[in-house]
Amino acid sequence: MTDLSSTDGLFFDYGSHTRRRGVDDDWTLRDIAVTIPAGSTVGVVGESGSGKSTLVRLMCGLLMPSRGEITFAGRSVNDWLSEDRLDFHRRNQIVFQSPASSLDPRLRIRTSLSEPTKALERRRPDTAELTGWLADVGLSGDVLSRYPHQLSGGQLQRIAVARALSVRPDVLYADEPTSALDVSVQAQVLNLLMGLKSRHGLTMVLVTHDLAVVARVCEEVIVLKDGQVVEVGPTADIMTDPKTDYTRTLVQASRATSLSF
Amino acid sequence: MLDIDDLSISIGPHEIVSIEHLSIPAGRRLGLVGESGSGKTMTAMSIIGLLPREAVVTGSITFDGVPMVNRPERELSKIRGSEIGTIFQDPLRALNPTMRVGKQVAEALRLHNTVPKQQVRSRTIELLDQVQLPEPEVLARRYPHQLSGGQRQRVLIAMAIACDPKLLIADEPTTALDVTVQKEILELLGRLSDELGMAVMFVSHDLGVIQAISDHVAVLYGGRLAETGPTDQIVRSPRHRYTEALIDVNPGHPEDITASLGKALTTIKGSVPPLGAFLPGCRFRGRCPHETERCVQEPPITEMDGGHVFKCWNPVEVP
Repeated sequence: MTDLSSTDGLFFDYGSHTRRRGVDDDWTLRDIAVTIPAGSTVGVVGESGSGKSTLVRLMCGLLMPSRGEITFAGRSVNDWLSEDRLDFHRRNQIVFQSPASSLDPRLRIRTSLSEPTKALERRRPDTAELTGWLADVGLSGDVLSRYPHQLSGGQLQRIAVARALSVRPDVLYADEPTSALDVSVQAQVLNLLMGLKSRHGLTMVLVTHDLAVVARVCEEVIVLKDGQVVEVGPTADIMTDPKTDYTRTLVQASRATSLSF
Repeated sequence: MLDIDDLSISIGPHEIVSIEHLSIPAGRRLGLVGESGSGKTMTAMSIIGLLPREAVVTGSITFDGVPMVNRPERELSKIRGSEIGTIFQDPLRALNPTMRVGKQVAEALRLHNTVPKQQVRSRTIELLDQVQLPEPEVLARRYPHQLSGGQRQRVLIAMAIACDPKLLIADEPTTALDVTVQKEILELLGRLSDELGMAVMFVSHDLGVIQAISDHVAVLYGGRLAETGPTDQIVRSPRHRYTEALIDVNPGHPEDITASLGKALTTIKGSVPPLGAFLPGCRFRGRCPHETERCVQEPPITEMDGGHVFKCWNPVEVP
């Protein structure tokens, strides 16, 4: 598989854009070199504060690196953003943890769902298109006239996914997409994401602290701790034979709170 | 120590919770499990009288021999925080952002006059130490925003156990935390419950978490008790079809990761109906894959050995 997206010597800090800093300083992300193969599903795991959300925000162009390089489809993200900004954002879409706060409470679903097409393709999608996108995530066209507060968490997350996919991205980044949901709804959303991925030939990057989810969904895992990559590899290897104490702690904690028969 | 009999909670025309019997012996831990909207929190909050004003409660809840239903607010507020402690899902919202955490723990002690004034400070430090917070003297002077999520939850646990409660109600206390922190908090709660002889009612939508903390479990759906009994027995051999579904839906840790990778996870058909939209008879009707004609009637109560009780017309066969 070719690499769709990669980082090399990536450093980032939320306060450092104007300051000169050495490599030994305290960075939010430090010297990150990871690759996302085209068509794969990669999990990014780690505890709160490990930098996993920051990493995907950098990769999809929502944050700028302090140092180092991010490459997308063989081209520097800097170049993408200065020359084809809209096209880069169209190709890299993200869904967040809380669907209730990623949809404007004052807008009907129709308006929210149309926004990426209006912003990135400069046109207004018609009802047939909108209904098609909703059908793709298992929702009926009835929800178009609703407001977010009238829908459940699972329905809202489906809408957030439909909205991200409406511009036919290459990569879908999902930042803890199921953490705010019930276990039963979580399974539905994960199945939906896996189905959409294979139907649309997407590359998917899933940020989560739940290794049980990673074990079911991701082929590869990137483990982050305090802003550094501690381990990368195929999921089965990392789950059964972790090479670092940190990953072992994560796997054990996850097993301790999983059902045992 | 806690006995619930024929409890019914209604809001307007809708009966949200209807439980025939549920009890927690002194010092024991019971988990309440079910999806959102199954009545777990309503049931837990009815014990301490923290329900919406318009809720009508009938039946009996007896705590330590004392009836709790429709008790005057003045008496309830004496019991809350002294004999019954409570912790919630979001520790940041439960703490006062403008007050140092040590002072907030001390407030819990002062309010119920549990220790003489001169000892409040030393007892505060002792409590922070008991919930395994590092350097309790330093930490007591911090504000909530200076602590991590796990540390905040520990402070709340310190406040909840300040007056040696006989019962701790824990409503999804680890849902917002990392897996590693979640494990630590569960271990802490288990240890405190053992050491202090404190009973725990633990509310969660995650059966794996319930299994890690409590020896008994009550599965709720649509405000009804679907199944209750020893946790391990119920996880290994559930009888009610809803319990079976809840177990199947849990991603767990597959034996063969490569084989299960990318395969669809088991789901429960549909979603929990909104208030008042449940069908008569068994509440799980409409979503249950094993529905029979009899299920339109209220299911019978079947009692098995070891306090394992379930209400299902077409239960899982025992091998």
